[in-house]
Amino acid sequence: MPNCLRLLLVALLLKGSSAFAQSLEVILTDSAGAVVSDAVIELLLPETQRETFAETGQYAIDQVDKEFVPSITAVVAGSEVSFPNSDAILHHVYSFSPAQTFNIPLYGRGENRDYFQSFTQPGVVEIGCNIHDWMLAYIYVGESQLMATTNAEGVATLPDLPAGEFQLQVWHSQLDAPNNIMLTDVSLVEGESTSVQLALSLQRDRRIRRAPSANRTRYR
Amino acid sequence: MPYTRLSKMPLAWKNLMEARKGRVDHNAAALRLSSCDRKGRLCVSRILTFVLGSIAQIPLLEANESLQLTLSAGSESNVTRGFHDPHILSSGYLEARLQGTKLYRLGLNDSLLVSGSFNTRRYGQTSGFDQTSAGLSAALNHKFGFGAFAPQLNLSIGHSWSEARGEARDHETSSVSLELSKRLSPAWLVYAGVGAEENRADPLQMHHRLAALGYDPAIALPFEIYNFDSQSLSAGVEYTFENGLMLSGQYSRIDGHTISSTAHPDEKIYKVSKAFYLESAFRHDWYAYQLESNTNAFGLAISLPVARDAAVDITANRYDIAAPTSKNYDNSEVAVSITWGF
Repeated sequence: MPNCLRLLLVALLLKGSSAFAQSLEVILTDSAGAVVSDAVIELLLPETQRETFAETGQYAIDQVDKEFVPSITAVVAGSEVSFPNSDAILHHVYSFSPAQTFNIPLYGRGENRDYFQSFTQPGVVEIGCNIHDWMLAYIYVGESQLMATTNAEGVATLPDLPAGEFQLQVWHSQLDAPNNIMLTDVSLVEGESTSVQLALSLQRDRRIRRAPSANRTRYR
Repeated sequence: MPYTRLSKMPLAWKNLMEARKGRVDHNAAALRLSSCDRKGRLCVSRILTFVLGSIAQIPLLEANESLQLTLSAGSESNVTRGFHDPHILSSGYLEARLQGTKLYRLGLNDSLLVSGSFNTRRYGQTSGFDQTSAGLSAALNHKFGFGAFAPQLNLSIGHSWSEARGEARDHETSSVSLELSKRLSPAWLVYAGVGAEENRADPLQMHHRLAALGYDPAIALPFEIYNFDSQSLSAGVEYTFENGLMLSGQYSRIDGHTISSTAHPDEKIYKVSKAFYLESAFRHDWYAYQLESNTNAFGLAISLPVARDAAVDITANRYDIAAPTSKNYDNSEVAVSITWGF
C-alpha cells in the first residue's frame, strides 16, 4: 500500500475513534441539597444524529410482592417490555398514558412471559395494577439510547457522546415542572468530559398508601 | 358434600358452646339451629352459610387471597349502656380479629370478595360481656373504570354468630350493605353507604325472677333482647399524608335498638322496654332490657404504617344513643390496635 494511503487510513481511524469520545456526568440534588435518585436524563439529539444511537431492546418489569420491579425503566422508542408476574396472585397491568395505552388483564405467576408490549412513541408511560391500587411504575421512552437513570448518589453518566451543543432533558416523577420535565443546555467539548450539577424543585411524593388499617378492612 | 358439612357448622358451634355451659340438651340445640322455624321465615342462616361456603370452596376459579390480623387494647366508658350510676360501668378490653378474604375477578372491573372472620373481645372489669363471634360475607364490587381513582360500588351480605358469657346475649346477625367510594387523589378517599341488620336470638326460657318482679302478671314482653332490626346511614373520609400517616373520620346514623343493663329495674323501665330478661352477664341480680333507639356514632382514627403491610391505629368512637321513650345514653370507646396484612 502506498505511504500516502496508509497515512490517510490512519487519519480516518483516528478521526472515527475520537468522534464520540466525550462523556457527560450529571449530578442531581433537590432544593435542600439532598441527592435525587430515579431521575432519567437524556441528551436530545438532532434528528440526523438519532439513527446512530437508536438501538432498541427488550426489557422486563416484574411484579414482586405486589410491587413493580424496577419502578423506573428507560427504553429507546421502538423497544419492547414484558411484565412477568412473580407473585402467587393475579395482577392486572394497565396504562392510560398518551405515549402508550395498553391493558394486560388478569394473569398469574409465570404467565405472559412471552408477551411484549411495544413502546414506539417517546414520552413517559405510567403503569398501574387495577387490583392493587398502590402499585406504580414508570417507563421513560427516549428518542435515543443516550439516556441514564440517576443512582442512589444522584449521579448519572453518559459515555461516548458526540461533541456539540445539545439540550439535556431531565425527568423525575416528582419534578415540579410541566410534564415533570426540565430542559437545560449543555456543551460537549471534543475530547473532554463534562460534569453538570442541577438542582431540582420536587413536589411531595404522593403515593397511595399500601399499609392496612384497623378501621376499614379491604382486600390488599 | 359442601351443604352437609357447612349446614352442620352452626350446629356444631352451638353444641360446643352448650357443652361449655354444662348444658347438653341436644334437642334444644337442634331447635335453636333453625331460625327458619320462627314465623315461617326463610332459613337465612342456612342459605347464607351454604352459598358463602360453597363459593369459598370453588377450586376452579382463580382467586387472590389476603389475610388481616388486628390486635387491640381499648376501653369503653359505658359497657352496660346504663343511664346513671351505678349502672354505668366502664371497662378495658383486649380484642383479636382475624379476617381472610378471597377475591374472584368476574370481569375487567367486577369482583366477588368472599370473607370469613373471627373476633373475640375480653373485658377486664365486666367479663360477663366477653364475646366471641364468627362471620361469613360476600361482596360484589364494581369499579366504574380502571385504576385507583375509579368510583367503586360495593354490595355486601353477611352473617355472623356471636356467643357471649350469658345465653341472653347469644345471637345471629344477618346484614346487607351498599357503599359507594371514590378516591379523589392519592391523599383523599371518601365513602358513603346504607345498611340493614337483622339480629336474632335463641328462644329463652321463663325464669321465676321475672315473675317475682310483679310488673306484668301476664309476662307479655318477649325475653329475647337480641331480636331486633336496624338500619343505618354512614359516611366517611380518609386523608393520607406523604409519610403514610392516615387520618380518618366517620359518621353513622343507626335507627334500631339498644340493650341496656340495670341492677334496679322499675316499672317505668319495664313499660318502655321492647324485651326484658335477666342480665346473664353478671352473677348478681341484674336485668337487661331492649329499647328502641337512634344512635349517632362518631369515629376518628389515626393510622401510622410501621412496616410495608402493618400499621398501628389509635381510634376513638362516641355513641350518642337517644331512646325516645327513655333517657339518652352515651358510650365512648378508645383503642390502640396493630394490624398486619398478609
